[in-house]
Amino acid sequence: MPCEKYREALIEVAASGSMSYGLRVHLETCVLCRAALQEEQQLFAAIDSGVQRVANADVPPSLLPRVRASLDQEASEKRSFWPYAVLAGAAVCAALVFVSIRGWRTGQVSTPVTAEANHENPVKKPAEPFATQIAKTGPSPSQRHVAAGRVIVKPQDRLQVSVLVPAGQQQAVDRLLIALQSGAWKPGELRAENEQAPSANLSVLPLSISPIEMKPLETVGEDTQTIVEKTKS
Amino acid sequence: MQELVLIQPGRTAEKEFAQEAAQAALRREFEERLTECGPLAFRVARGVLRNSADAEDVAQEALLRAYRRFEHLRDRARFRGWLVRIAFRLAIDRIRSAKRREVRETLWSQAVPLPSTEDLAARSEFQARLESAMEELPEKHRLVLLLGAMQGHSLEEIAGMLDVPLGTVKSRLFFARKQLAEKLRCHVKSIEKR
Repeated sequence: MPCEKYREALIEVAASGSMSYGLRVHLETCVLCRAALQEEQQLFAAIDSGVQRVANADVPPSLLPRVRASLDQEASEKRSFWPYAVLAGAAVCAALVFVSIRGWRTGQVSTPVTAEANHENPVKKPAEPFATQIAKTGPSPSQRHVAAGRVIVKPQDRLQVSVLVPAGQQQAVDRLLIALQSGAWKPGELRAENEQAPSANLSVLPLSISPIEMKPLETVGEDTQTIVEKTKS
Repeated sequence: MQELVLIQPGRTAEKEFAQEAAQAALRREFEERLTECGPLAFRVARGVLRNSADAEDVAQEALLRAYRRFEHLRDRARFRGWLVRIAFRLAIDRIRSAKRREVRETLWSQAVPLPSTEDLAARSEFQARLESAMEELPEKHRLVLLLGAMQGHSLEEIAGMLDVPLGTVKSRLFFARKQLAEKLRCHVKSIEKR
């Protein structure tokens, strides 16, 4: 048994390794305390080696390949999610366009409006869907340029709609859309540019207007009178 | 026939390419850290769970979580400490849920799981007691003790990892070892008597 006075001090010395001068002097004379200190030091050494064994356990070789595989899997799941989301978005947009076209047509048939009422309170036409606008006016030269393989064109909004374009032209299409949206390019300028330098793939026919015969109103009136007389006779 | 590809006009192809490149760079950066810090995550988990299979699962989960949030980690130099804390927390959660499950199962079946003969042969009595005593240590003390015993970790590094002052690390380590000694002293004496 060590001296009661130094019992705690011996444990502290074994745990920390630093010893006071008073204890050192005492240990030189006390055999029991020296033996107790040795025991404590052995205990702490055993604890340290045991903890080291726990803390430095062999890492299984399967750990890193497992983690890499799960990282790859997560990345592929992330990638594979997008096409489905894009297709779903496209389907929803197509359905909305279809419903709006139908709704607009049925609305026009069911509400006959008189010319007078039309003059005083002009009925607002529902905004035409962009697809119908294209169908009526035909694609602009810039749109025609990419129209070779395109299905849907949505240059005005920034919906996540999927578009089919010829392979290798994704960047060109994107640049064009950005330029049009930001206003850096105006459709008029684009048309003029294309007229100046028509591409090999694109042929734009010049606008041809048949000549109109111009007559003063009086002669027009005479002509109609003679026509009426001729029909009566 | 002309080949067509599907794109999203709202997101430019350039942006996508840039995103892909950034993702690849992020993955490369993470890979470098994975090789260096993967074993650390495993050892921290192993120190808590005392079971290699569970520790592997926890380390994997910790590394995946770290990867998911790696992009948002402002100071990449703090990755080690961050990963250590994730792995430690996950291991603690796992051991707690395992204990709850054990209590539930014991209540129903009163079946006490016995250690296998392999376990008994592999672990000496002292080591088994030491590991049990470590489990009873406060979490903060246990983590410092484990990190301090791991090869190649100075006390300054541990302080940096855990974002605590060096003095705190020293005192936690001192008290952890002292507590272990108190728990194991009687056991050592009983072995000596035999």
